[in-house]
Amino acid sequence: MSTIKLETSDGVKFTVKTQVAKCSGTIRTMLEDIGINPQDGEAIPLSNVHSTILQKILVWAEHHVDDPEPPRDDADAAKRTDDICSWDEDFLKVDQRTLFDVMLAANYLDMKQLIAVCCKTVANMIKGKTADQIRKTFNIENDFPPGDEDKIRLRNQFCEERR
Amino acid sequence: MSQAAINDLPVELLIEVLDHLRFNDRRTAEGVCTHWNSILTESRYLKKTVLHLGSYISQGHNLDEIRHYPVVVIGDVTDAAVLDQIREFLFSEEVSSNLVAIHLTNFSQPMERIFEDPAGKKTLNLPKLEEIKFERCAKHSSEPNIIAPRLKCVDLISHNSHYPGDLVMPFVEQIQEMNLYTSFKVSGQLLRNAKNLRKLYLRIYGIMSPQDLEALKHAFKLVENVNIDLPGEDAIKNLPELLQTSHNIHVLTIASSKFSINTLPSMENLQELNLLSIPAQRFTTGTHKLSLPKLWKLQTVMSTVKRFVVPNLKSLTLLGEVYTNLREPHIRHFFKQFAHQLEELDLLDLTLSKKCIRVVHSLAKLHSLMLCKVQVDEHEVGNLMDGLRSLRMARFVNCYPYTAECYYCSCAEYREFFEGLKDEYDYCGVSVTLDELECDQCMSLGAILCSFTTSYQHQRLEEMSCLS
Repeated sequence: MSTIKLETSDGVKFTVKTQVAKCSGTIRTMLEDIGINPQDGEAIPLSNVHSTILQKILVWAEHHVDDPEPPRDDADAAKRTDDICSWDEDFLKVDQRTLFDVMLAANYLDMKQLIAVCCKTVANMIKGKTADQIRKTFNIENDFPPGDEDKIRLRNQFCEERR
Repeated sequence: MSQAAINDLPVELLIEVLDHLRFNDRRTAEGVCTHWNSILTESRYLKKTVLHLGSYISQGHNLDEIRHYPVVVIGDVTDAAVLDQIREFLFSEEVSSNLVAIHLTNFSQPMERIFEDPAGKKTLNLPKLEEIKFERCAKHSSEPNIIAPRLKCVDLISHNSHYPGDLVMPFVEQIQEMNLYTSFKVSGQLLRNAKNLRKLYLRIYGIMSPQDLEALKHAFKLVENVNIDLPGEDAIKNLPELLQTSHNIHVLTIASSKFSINTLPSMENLQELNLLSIPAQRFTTGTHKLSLPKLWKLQTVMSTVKRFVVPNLKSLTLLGEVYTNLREPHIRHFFKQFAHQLEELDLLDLTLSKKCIRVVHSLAKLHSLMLCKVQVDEHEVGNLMDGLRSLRMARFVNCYPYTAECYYCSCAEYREFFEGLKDEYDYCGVSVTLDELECDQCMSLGAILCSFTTSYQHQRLEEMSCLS
């Protein structure tokens, strides 16, 4: 089984099965299109990813390495959030900072399925809450000028979903 | 290492998160912070929102707050000052240049009141308008001074001769989709001059004049997708003739209880046929076979299925009438021809015997099975899924055993079956909906069962949209 080396922003080197590393679109492109030769023994630098996060991401990639290609994304389809598999659910039971760091790294590494499952997890943290509860959950500052929030609430009373 | 917070995410990731919210959560999220607000008030999201313009203005709220809403509905407004405000609002460039759809419901004033400049100077320019809907509205009786180059969909509900016809008439040639719930006379006037019509929903009544028939013939030659509900015998009588010459129709839906299958002509380009709410006796008499060479999707009453010659069928929906017994001889021969090609089977309001289950099991390529209000013999229910190895998606909607007070409590076989499904098929395309559970204990079980569904549904929907 062929392996490659990856080096994180804090200088930690990981030896990874090539197949697992290729879950990342970014690494796949480097290997296949740009023609970086993994046999050279030189580590691919991942300057935007910290070792603790890469370690976590590799656990995910290892578990999902044999997943079939996801169906093409349909922007208009109602997006569900109740189809996260229980393994991923457990995997993403982490503090928010780690979750967002995983998302940023997955974005940099171009791992669409990991991004999707993270986004669903975050959406589930938003659903059913009031604006105040959402701000509290994510530590977001209410930066509306005084009165604006009321205007939005009032305006939304006259809105309904388009059939 | 970084310490990311939600608003440190790049905007495309935040959008992907917010995309997963449904309407009510989206509205709440708009009020969280200015960053989220600016994302969620982009027109992509607002297009899914309808603003009640009439009531908003009637209650004296600030118009600047709502200028970016692309879909507005105007109800019955009679107050002159409010009507003036609506008109000025529509005429302001910021609003008119953004409007995508206008819905008017029970608007009893002449349309000129809001769509025409009283001084007769200004033209109402609606460059993005795609859809206009008139629901029981009053007349527009002069030549409109409106520019709407992208208008392509008209919805008209009108039960008297007053309808805003003059407002629509100048655009008839460019309209691609019409939904008409009105008289023959009104429909005839609109359809006569259609040129680009693709999709037509007709629920029309009254007396059909020869001119109306000519207009319908003209429209039927253009359209690809027709949905017809013609309550009058008169109109139904002419339907075979209309369909005979309409070679563009790919999708046909007939919902009339007066229509008989015996009069349906062979339509060589038809791909989807839906025959809804037609009493069985209309079909069972006669031996006429109907050949539809390109049909891949058929929805019809169970007893009629043997009348179809449909070599390319992939998807079949059989409708019963409240627990009709699905009779095995009826389906055996029909299913036999499709044993290696039928991919989707939906059964509604039927009772499945042991023999029928075996017939269903013979479908080797079946990917998707839906049972809605279907009774399965309680001693057979456990075997239902066993014979279906190629199945990727199964849905059970309100399926019960024959007799039971709370069927879920009292029937161990069913309970075992559904709970077994959850263990065995978790995340593999099975969904169960049981929204008629009687007792509290079962309701909580029902909620658990409803929560396991999968992404295969999406995949399936996508495949279907590719085919069509």
